Amino acid sequence: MKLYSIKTKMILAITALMVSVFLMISFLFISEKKVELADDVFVGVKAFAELTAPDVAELTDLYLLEEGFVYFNREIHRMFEQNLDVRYVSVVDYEGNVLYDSDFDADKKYDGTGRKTIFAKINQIKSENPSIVMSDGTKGGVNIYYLKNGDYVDYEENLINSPESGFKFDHFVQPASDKYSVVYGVTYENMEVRVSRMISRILATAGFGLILGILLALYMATRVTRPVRKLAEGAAAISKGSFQYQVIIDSKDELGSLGASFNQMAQDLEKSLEARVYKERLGREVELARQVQKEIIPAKLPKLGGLDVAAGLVSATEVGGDMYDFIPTKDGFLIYLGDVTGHGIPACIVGAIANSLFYSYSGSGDLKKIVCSVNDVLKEKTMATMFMTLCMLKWDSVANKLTYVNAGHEPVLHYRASSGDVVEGKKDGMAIGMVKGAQCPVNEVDPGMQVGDVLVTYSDGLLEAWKNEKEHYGMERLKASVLAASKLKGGKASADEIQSSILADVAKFTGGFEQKDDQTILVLKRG
Amino acid sequence: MLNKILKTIGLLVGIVVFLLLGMYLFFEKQFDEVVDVFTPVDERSEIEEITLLEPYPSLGYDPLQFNPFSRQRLNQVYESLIRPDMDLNMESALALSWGLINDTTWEFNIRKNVKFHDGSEMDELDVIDSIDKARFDEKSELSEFLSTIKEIRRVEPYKIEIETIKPDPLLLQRLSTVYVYKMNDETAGYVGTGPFVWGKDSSDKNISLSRFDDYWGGGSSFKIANIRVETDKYKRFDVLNNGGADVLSYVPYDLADQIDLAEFDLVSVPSLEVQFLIFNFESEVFDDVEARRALKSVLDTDEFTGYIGEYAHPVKQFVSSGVFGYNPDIEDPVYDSSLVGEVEELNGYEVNVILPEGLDVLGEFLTDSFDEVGLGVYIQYVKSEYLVETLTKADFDIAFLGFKSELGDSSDFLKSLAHTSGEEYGQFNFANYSNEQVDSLIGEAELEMNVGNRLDLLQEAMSVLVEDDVYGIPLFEYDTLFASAKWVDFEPRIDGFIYINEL
Repeated sequence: MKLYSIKTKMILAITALMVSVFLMISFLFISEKKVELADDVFVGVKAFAELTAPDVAELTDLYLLEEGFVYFNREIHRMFEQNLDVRYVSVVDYEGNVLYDSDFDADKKYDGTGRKTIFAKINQIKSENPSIVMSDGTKGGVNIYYLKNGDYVDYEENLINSPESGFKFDHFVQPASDKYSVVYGVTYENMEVRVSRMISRILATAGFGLILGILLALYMATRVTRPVRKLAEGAAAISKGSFQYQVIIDSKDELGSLGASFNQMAQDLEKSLEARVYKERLGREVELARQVQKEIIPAKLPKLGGLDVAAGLVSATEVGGDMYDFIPTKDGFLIYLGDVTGHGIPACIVGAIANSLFYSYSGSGDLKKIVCSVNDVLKEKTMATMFMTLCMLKWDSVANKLTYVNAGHEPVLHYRASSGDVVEGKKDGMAIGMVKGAQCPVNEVDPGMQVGDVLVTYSDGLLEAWKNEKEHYGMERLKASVLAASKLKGGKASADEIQSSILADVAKFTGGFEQKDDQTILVLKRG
Repeated sequence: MLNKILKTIGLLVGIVVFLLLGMYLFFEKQFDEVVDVFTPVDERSEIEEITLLEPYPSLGYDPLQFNPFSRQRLNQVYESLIRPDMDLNMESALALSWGLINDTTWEFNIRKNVKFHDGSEMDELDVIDSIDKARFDEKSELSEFLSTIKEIRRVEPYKIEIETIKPDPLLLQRLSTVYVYKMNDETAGYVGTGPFVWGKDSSDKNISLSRFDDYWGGGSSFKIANIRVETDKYKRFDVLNNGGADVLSYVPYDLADQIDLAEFDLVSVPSLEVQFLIFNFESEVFDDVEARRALKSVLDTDEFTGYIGEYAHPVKQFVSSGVFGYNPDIEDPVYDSSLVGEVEELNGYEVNVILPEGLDVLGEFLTDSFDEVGLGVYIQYVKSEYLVETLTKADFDIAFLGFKSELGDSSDFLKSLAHTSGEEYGQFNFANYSNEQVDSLIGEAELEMNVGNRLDLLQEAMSVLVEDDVYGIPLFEYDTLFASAKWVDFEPRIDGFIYINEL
């Protein structure tokens, strides 16, 4: 068991607490008990002296002084077996002469020179009141207390301070008759034996409590540390990637809850890790997709003589499939804005494929042919769920003519400078890559752009720019924005200014709400 | 692996200690039993044998004998209803309890489950039979002691009543001298209930006792107890010093200072025995009190006591100090050798003296003292076992006697030696003394329940014997010296007996 382990700490703490409290209580108890026992000795000896002293006086007259020592000794011994706290007795006459001394007169009556009492003062012998003699703590010094009616008095019966509770005294002097007093010597041996026994039992109880505390603490600590160890093992397993590791803690307390939480955490961690990996992968994908998108989208817009163009693409967090490009032809340019279904790499790859295909088929110059050819290839080579809406425009810089086809894309918006309004084109056609072959319903449209007219094509990300969960930008706003932007500077705003104005309006509308799809816009102004 | 084993062992030890502590605290009695199982202390098995060394042989082994020499042996084998403790307090023995129903009727409840040495159970009939034998058997030396008993009745199993002729405050003391025993038909010997049985290898010089394992009181510490006799004091001393004995009674005074106190404890206790000379009141000369007084005044007993040593003390009456009835007012004897000359009959008289063998010092003292005043002396030294028989013949002027007030009461002496001989009294009145006043005082004292009054009566009787009638010449009282080996827990009793079971 390590010294710094929880188990050790708990054991030490609990047992230290138990032992400390117990020892404090024991100390108090022993101290009080000693006082109580000492008081009991005093009360017992006092009562014993009061009861036996007259008998002792009688025995002295009847036996001792009549040389009947055998009977006297017998009676004295019988009497003093009744109080084990009295270890000594002497009979003293009124002049202080010791007639009998139990320590020295064991078998026969004393027959020698006179003996004076040494354990009691002559005043005590002559007093009518019983008295006690106790050591005052100095060498040979004594304190004498006389007892009268329950009070402590001096020889002249003046009240004096009583000794402290639990005091120990050496001798008790009891006037027995007009002729004799009896001096009782007190022993505290029996009391000490009882105290020793009590201390032994207390120490045994302390030992019992200590071991009990240790066992209890051991049990409780084990109940805590075992689950903790399991949790640690679980954490180690999880750190090595073993997310399926389950910590089994069979208890209904907080530790059980912790175990359940840990297991849940492991599962959540696994999912979170998967999500993170996915997110990272997604992020890489997004980055890659963004890279691809960036490669497809021209870095610099070409000069289309007679047509002022501006393009803007605001990517969503997860890159969508929006793209545009300007493909030069022999007579002008092919311009397209496409929106591949989905997001990320798959959409970008399809977009890249479509872009390459547009380039490949651009030579025909026929919008429908180009779109349908690309449709066939995409349908063949991409997933069934992948398709692309497209608005492809052809600018014939020789004829100064702009036509377009719409393959399932949002309708173009045409600002007519002459009327000062915005006309919404038709949303027709079918997204490319959906259906192969003859079913390629795209038609080339000539919007009849005049000088000052503005044609705007855009991805659905503009229309579906959300302000909150309920409100999106919508077509009406877009038309209004196109109209307003086209009229900027008295209708002399450039395509770029118009594009910026429109995107700014959209941004103002959304107010920073999460952009869920790319917002792509192409603005073409007939100059 | 080792750690685990050590942990397990540590845990097991902790649990065992925990359980033991719990047992000690909450089930102390059971704890003590468990401890005893693992630490049996059979005190008996530690000490096998003890040997007591006595100076005097037994005068017989009949339970009806009353001399102290026999009793020292008999006390180990037989018991009475009541027995005196160390302080001569009467304590229960074969009687569980007792009490007075009226002034003359005592009830005794007999202890149950007490076995005789032959395995039979003691009952109330055995008690009655024993007491009756002590009362009526012609060999009994106790009959006089029990003369106050009128009748003994069986009340019910283990209960008897004893009715006395008159109120008898000393009945318990009397009964303490009566052993309960019975005849074993197989061995034709007596069996008792005491802690020891007679051993097979016994002789007069060495009594061997075996522990009675079915003793009701729990049995002695000793398996074997020997009581050896060595009458020669020097040999006695050698036996002790050579390890032939563990306890020696009556250590010779002149050898006391040679006891090796590193090996032995020397303790003394008043013997309660007074040695004295009695006059033969049927003697031609000494039937006259003046002759007796004159002879008494010749002997300086203080001087004689000085010869004996520090453990002997002059005494002026026939019971030792400490005995109830001792009269402290009796004056010191007056030594006046001229008084002999005033008694014509003593002129040139040869005093016939009987002394026990071994009291040469006394014999010399008497010879010298009498010689100084012109008296002749003829001393007969008699063996102890023949002393009583010799005295009974009454062919002496003065004789040596000793009396031990075993019960601490002078009435024993007065009734046995000073009362006019009769059925109840004067069993040992070898002096052939008779005084109505003394008889009356003794009789009154027997009936007196008030202690103070009784004391007065006894003291008055003693005063008459010592001063008025000069019954005899008190010589000395003495302390009995005992030597015991250090390992023996021995405290001498006031009556001088050694109960091996108490060691």
